[in-house]
Amino acid sequence: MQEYIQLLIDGLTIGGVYAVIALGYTLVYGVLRMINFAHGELFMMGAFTGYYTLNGFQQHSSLNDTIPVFTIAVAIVLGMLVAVALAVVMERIAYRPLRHAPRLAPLISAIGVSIFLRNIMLRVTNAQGKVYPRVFPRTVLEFGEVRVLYVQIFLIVLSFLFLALLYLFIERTKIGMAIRAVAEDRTTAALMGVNVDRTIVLTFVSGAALAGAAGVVYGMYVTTATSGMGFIPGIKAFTAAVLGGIGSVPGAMLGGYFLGISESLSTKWLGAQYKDVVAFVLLVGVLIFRPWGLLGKREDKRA
Amino acid sequence: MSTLREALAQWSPSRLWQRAEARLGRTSAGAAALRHGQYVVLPLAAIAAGLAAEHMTIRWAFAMIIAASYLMLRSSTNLFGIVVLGAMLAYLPEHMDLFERGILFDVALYAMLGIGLNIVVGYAGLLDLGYVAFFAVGAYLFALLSAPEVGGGFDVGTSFWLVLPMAMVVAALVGVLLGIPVLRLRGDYLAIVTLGFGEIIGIMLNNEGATGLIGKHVNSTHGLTNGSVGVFSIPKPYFFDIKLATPHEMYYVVLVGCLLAAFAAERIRVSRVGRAWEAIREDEDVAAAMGVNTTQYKLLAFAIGASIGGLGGAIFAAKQSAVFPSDFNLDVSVNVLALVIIGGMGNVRGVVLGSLLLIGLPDVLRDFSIDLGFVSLDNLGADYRLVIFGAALVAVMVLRPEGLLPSRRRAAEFEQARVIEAERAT
Repeated sequence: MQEYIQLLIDGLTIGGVYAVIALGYTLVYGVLRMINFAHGELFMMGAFTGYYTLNGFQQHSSLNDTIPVFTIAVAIVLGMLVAVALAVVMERIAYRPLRHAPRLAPLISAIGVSIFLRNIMLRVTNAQGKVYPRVFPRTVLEFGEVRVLYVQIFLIVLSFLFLALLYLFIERTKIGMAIRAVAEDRTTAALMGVNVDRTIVLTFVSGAALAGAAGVVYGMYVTTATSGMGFIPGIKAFTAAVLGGIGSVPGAMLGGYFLGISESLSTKWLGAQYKDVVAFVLLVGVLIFRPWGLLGKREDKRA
Repeated sequence: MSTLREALAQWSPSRLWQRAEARLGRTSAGAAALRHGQYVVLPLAAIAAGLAAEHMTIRWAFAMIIAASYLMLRSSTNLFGIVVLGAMLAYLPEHMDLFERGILFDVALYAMLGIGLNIVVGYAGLLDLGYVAFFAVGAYLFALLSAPEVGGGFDVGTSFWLVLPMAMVVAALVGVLLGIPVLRLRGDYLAIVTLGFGEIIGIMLNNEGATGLIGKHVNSTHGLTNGSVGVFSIPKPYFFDIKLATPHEMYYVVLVGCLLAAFAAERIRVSRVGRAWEAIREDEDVAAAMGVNTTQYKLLAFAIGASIGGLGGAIFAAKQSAVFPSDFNLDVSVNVLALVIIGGMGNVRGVVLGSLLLIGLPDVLRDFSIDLGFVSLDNLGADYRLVIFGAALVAVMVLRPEGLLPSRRRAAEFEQARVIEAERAT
């Protein structure tokens, strides 16, 4: 039993990361019907920003507190800002000119952005992973046989917080309403006075902010940042979005946790080496039996 | 704020391009210059790059090939061009060192892979991001069948020439198995599932050593794939009595394979099957309404594309004499996709051009460096090729989404989309 609780907690930790990234995919897909392949790279850039910030603080030795709350907050905010700035530039240069192009064009453009960012960082870091400075105490909290790191608790709480905030943002604010309107029907939304271009940018911005923050926190959790780190979590978060029903905000959250826990359980049943395969098997399974996902709306018309 | 935005929009790349086109297009000479300018600028740039490289003669010759092929490939009926190009391709390796022959081999191999992927992406309009999977299947099939026990193989001793058709069939089967669940769905899902599948193949090759889930039941010392150690000591194939030992000799094998693939691809393109693909690509619903069995034809495209990938893999394994899981990563899929798209979708000539530009050129420029005083870029080709790839993919999509050398059909489709967009804008 305790073993399963342990797996559940590990699953919730990584699932929270997937859920937060998956929201970016689902939001952008909702308004543009496009998979933003470069979303995982925003996460990666967030992680690097976090590293450089924390490293900067460490040089000035202000990481001596037990848990440097202020430093962590600054790192997360900077990570969000960098990801947001990149997303805005990305949308302007690589996606907006292609809004009416054939479907493949923006997808390929997004792949281009993804490759570009990943390899720029590979060169910037000279292909060396960056090791995060220690921000959380190394001591492990033990509850019986269940071992939990401080950073895990932080990550789980923070992901819940972000998800709640985003949910409120989408459901309760005027901008959120505009995003939902554009996702529903872009032309009608425009006729109703919604500034479609601005709404699309805001969608990218909200997704990117979450990805950037997730990158910083994930970096603290795995304690390294590498240029390729956005790729696998990116695909998995996309899988989570599809699992939950792409375009659906609660679906992405549910999908993220579902995937995280499945992966965690699979390490017990299949062995750690096949952890990465689980996501793809789930993805293919969902696509065959329930292509609209767990909470998605069933679309009868294929686009 | 809004005026600033408008002013910025005036100077956006797409607007500038449109304006340049409109301005120049007013005079016939201007239009001609615009249309033909690229065919002058690009070869000149290639020659200039060749001149700047070390080992002048060989690099220069190679740059010349790139330039010449760009021009000659423009017209498929230019017999003179084809003869000259063929002669160069056959003769040049004699004067190259081992490294340069390796480059030539890679260019031909990637051109072949590109022809295969082009059937999937260019003809049928399906985005496959896991092409490396089929390449890996072909390579490991030959490796495992021919390598001795000590090299991690099963020492079956199957002849290379027999493995080639086997690799094609097995890869096609894998393609069909993968395609059945996802081809019913919309294009973006296919992209992500194939991407995932490409990753799974890499993970499996790495894991199915002696301790793998399947591997431990297969063989206690090296499992199914010999894990991360890879399979080595793959015997060199013989062509009658000639041992195909060097990249030079394997280059001719891949060149022949490439030509056959190109021939087959062109023949299929103009056949009933090719027309069905075209219909699916342009509008799937209409195609289905006209009686085209879309799922079946999509599967067929997937299978044929996969079989060429498998063939390429087997040749690759024979040339390398050793295969490692790390050879089969996402970069292969991305390289092949990039050369198909940048070269021009739906077109064998575009693919060959793409391979020369994206595979050949960066390698030729491997130790080419720029020193701008404040920043010096060493190993430009080796270190920055993927950075340039990424930027080039975006640039091509935004400025010239049909690629450098698109098929006429494909160009027309993009033109139509552009007209519709222009109408929508007004």
